[in-house]
Amino acid sequence: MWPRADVKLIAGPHDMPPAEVLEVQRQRLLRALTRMVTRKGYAATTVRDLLGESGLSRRTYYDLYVDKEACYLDAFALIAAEIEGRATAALEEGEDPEERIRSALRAVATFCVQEPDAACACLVESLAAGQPGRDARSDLIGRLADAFAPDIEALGASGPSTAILARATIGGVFELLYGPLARRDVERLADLRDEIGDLPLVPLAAR
Amino acid sequence: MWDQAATKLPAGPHGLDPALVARVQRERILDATARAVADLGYQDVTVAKILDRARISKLTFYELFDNKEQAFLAAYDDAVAQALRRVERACAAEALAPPAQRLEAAVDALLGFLAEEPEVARLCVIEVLAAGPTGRQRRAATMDRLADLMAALLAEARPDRDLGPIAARALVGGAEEVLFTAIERGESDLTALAAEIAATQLRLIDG
Repeated sequence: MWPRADVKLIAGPHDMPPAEVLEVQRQRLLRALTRMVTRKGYAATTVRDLLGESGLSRRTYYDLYVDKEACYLDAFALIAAEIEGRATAALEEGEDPEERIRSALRAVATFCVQEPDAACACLVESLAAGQPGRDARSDLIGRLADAFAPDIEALGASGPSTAILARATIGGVFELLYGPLARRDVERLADLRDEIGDLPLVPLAAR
Repeated sequence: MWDQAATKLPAGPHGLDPALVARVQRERILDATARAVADLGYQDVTVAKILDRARISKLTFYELFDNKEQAFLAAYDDAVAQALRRVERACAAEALAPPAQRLEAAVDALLGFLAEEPEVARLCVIEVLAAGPTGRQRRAATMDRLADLMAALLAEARPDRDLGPIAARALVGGAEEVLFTAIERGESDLTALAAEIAATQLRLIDG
């Protein structure tokens, strides 16, 4: 799961096992990475930036990752798992198929409001991180689309158009979030979260 | 205008108008930029890689553009202007038809253009998202224009429903996500996809 805050290590002697220390450092590094790529963009961010922002030594960094891309993809995987977890949990909450989908998408928007740096690193910068970044984003949308499929079908879709409609529904909301996330306009993101309630999110469900 | 095949200039002394020569050279650079970006991805393209493909001198390049970003954005702007002209023409040709039919014509025109020029399609839909804040702004402006067209069609088709600009943006964004995936996967048959997208959005319009 995506760490909500940095854990501070106690300076000086402590009895934390080395593996645990490394895990705390990894989480601190990944949070630092989301701040840096959000601020400078993926392409312009360097390992040196990540060291400066996280306070990690070069040696610890390279114990964890071979390069910037590996570090980015690890952060993406954690953030994507958080988004997916929240969306699928929210999917259980709605009364009918349309409301379930709405509630899942609202959960994604809520994550963006709460963690704009992590959300921007995941949903905006993945599109600037070359083929691996785009593939990771596409996989996330594919997993969400699979989770939405039964409800999309309950709304009348069938066959290959189920997957296309699910992707279009998720992609539509990602598009709305994209601009405000790129600008880190949290106020606009909060408005959007409320507006998802009124959107004709699923074309089939518009009556 | 986006030129389908880069025009060759006669070698040696010629009495051609310098403005015409500059225009032909500009088109060759834009064409070469699209090919270089399709091959290598925006981040890995350099002016040298563009020059290899355009077969023009470095001097000529720098007379016309300051850097690769400028050439890329010029290629983007030219392609989008041409695509939007086609969309507007397609809508105008169906001016008397019901909104659903005009939407179908617009989607056909847009995807027809992209299918003819796979490298330009990649540049406009995928690589522009890797071209930094300016690329993002250019893309946002294009999405705004498409969303305006969609909003007008929605308002006309469904005056009973308050489908505002946010709904239009989500629909256009959803269609773009599906298109993005098709281009990523190298699916050449964009026209079948066009029919699918139009069909689902028609269901929204027809209610």
